[in-house]
Amino acid sequence: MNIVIRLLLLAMLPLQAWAGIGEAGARHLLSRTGFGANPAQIALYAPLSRQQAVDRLLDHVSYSALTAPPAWVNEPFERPGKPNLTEDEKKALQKERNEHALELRGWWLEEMRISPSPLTEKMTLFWHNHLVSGLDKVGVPQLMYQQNVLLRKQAVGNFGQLLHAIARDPAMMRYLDTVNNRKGQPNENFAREVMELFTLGEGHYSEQDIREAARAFTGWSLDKDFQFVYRPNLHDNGDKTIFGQQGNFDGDDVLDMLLRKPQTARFVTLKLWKYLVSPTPNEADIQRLSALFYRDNYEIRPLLRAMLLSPAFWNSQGQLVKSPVELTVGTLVTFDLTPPDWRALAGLNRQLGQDVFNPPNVKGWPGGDSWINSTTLLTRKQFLDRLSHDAAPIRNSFVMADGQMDEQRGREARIRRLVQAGLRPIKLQPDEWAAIYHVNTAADATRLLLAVPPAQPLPADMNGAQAIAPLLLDPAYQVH
Amino acid sequence: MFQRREFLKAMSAGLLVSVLPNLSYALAPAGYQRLLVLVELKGGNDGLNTVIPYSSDDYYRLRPSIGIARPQVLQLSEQVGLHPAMQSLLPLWQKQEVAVLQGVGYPEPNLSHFRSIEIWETASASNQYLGEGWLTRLFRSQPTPPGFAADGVVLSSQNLGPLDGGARAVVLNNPQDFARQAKLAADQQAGAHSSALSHILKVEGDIRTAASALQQPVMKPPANPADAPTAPPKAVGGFAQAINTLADILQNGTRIAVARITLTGFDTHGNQQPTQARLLGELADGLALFKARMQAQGPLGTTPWY
Repeated sequence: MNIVIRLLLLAMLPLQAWAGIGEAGARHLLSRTGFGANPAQIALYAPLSRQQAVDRLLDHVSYSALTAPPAWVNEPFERPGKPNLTEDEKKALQKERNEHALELRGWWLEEMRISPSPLTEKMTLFWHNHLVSGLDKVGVPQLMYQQNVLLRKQAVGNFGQLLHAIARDPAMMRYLDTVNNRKGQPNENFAREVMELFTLGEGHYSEQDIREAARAFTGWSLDKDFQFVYRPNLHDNGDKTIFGQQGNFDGDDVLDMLLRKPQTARFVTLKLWKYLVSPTPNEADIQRLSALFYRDNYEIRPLLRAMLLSPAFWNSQGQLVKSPVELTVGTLVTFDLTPPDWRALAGLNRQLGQDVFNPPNVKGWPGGDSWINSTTLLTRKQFLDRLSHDAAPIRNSFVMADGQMDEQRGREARIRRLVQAGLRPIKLQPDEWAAIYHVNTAADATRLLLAVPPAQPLPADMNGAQAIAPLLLDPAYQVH
Repeated sequence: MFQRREFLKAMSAGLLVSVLPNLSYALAPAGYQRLLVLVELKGGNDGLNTVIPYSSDDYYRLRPSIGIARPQVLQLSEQVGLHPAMQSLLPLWQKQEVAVLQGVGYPEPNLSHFRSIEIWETASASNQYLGEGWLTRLFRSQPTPPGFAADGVVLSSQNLGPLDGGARAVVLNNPQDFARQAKLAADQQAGAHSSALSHILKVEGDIRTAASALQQPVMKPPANPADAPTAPPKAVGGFAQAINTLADILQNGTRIAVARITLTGFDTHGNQQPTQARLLGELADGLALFKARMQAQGPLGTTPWY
């Protein structure tokens, strides 16, 4: 008897582990780890088990962007604060920088939309919001681009290496005043934020730790081309006492001390959980995952894998408010849309509170409920309303006699239209979308578009194409 | 050269005062019978060229080029006077309806512009990060009565400022637009939702409440223009438009506790004088306009909305 039960249990375990995640599961996974998903991407993941699906995502991570950056990113640039400029020259320089800043935002948003590994961009954005620098203070778009390249390279790499690299990153060194930190005149900005916001979190260090750590970072500087340079004559070679240890520490020593504290693994794990899973982590999961992160020497991939395979992740549908880029880029991805103008989309995201490359302050975007207030919610709805308004009229052109969709005709129409438009920007085509992806019923559309049932129930007789607009405007579309 | 200082001005019944954030507790007991209007001079107004210490030799010594010449200063006392562009506030000053509070700040000022505003709007300590604006905290402990369209309306800005983080605040540039857009907000549905969805439904509810209150027909007969003591100054510019929008919705009987209007453009890194003169002129004219419109709508002191 006992043996039979055991055998049964053994037989059931792999079954559960290998069952396909289905469309709802695939939509959930792709929406959380990327920016929306079109029904074809969902169909690709639906038959996979949780483990297969997560491994597939992790096997496809990339380390550089596919979209070519604007040409100016590698060109020499004027130093901010160059003396003896006339008012007109200053204005022209500022205008050029603003122009570049806009192009840079458009470049990244486009990469989020087309990247074969949206997870890479999702994690790049996570680190951008954790190891924060912002254009307003950094001033030089080229430096923000270089930092973005670094964040992507280590997005699913190693947090320890990333921390060491970001401390020497020119944008960061300007943003948190490492460049103004010298022997005898310490600037504590970086030393404070590296402990408070990047590694330990408040309450896990003393003011003395900050003061002494600032001395350790002295001598880290930028040369005339804004590249990292160590200036020994500016370094404070005296003994420092940090976390009770005494020695002639330098900046890398301090970062290693921070990485040796398990609290750092816990702090980062907690933040990643809130980004990918839910606003309310449970203690057991956090303990398990941060222990793993620490043991694996801050390798990000195994942490991500364990987090995405935790049962809590698969029960968290609808618990996160979509960020502005998740909402806007995600909607474009879901409906295969190419925006006519990335600048307009960058401006929209700025209005919605997420101006990429320029977080509000060193704490980054607080996220969660704070994305939504009366203004931002109405602006989100206007964006979605305009998309539905501008959509091609629904004529049920591809509905067949038996209520099924004529996929072939839908595709042909799409190709004809793309050719006619010279492959230029396209607008939402509910009929084609429904035909190509077999979105026959309102229930099909709901499963593909929403994480939770709509707050406004749909009329029973709606078909898939008709359901798109009401589903986009439903409050449930704002969460995932 | 000079110390940039962002300061808020609050006006109640034509009374211009700077309100310290931690005075918020003092506002509540009145039961929101008075309307608090906050005007944000965005970009860092030069306070020493707004209320000018014209009797100080140091002022002229330290400001050889951007100082305001003594004869042009609108004298308020033997020590200080207003920028010449603020002529329209003088009649209010003479009727003792304007007060000036100088040197408002907080200990250990943070020199980051962005962080300074955050401290200002959340009334936090210099080294403390708070997620809620000081008015949001006030309205949580002292909720506005039923029937209020919103805790506050925000004009000429997308930023909720001290109303951020939970207050029932709506951004209102054009009430008609708002009413139209508000149709995009869903009716609230009862039922169990995740906290994320509940928050969205709450905000949709706030929008609909405010929109339906704003759409109510005019409750009061229009005031007899002959009763108005002086013709209101002409409304020019975005600030005056915002003032008129606010006066319009109050005239409609819309009940709110706070309004916040932003006048932007003070971020003058060079060539300050003409820009600041224009902006301070807009500010003074706008405040005088508001006073005139409120007076025209009903005797001050008997109507609760001013």
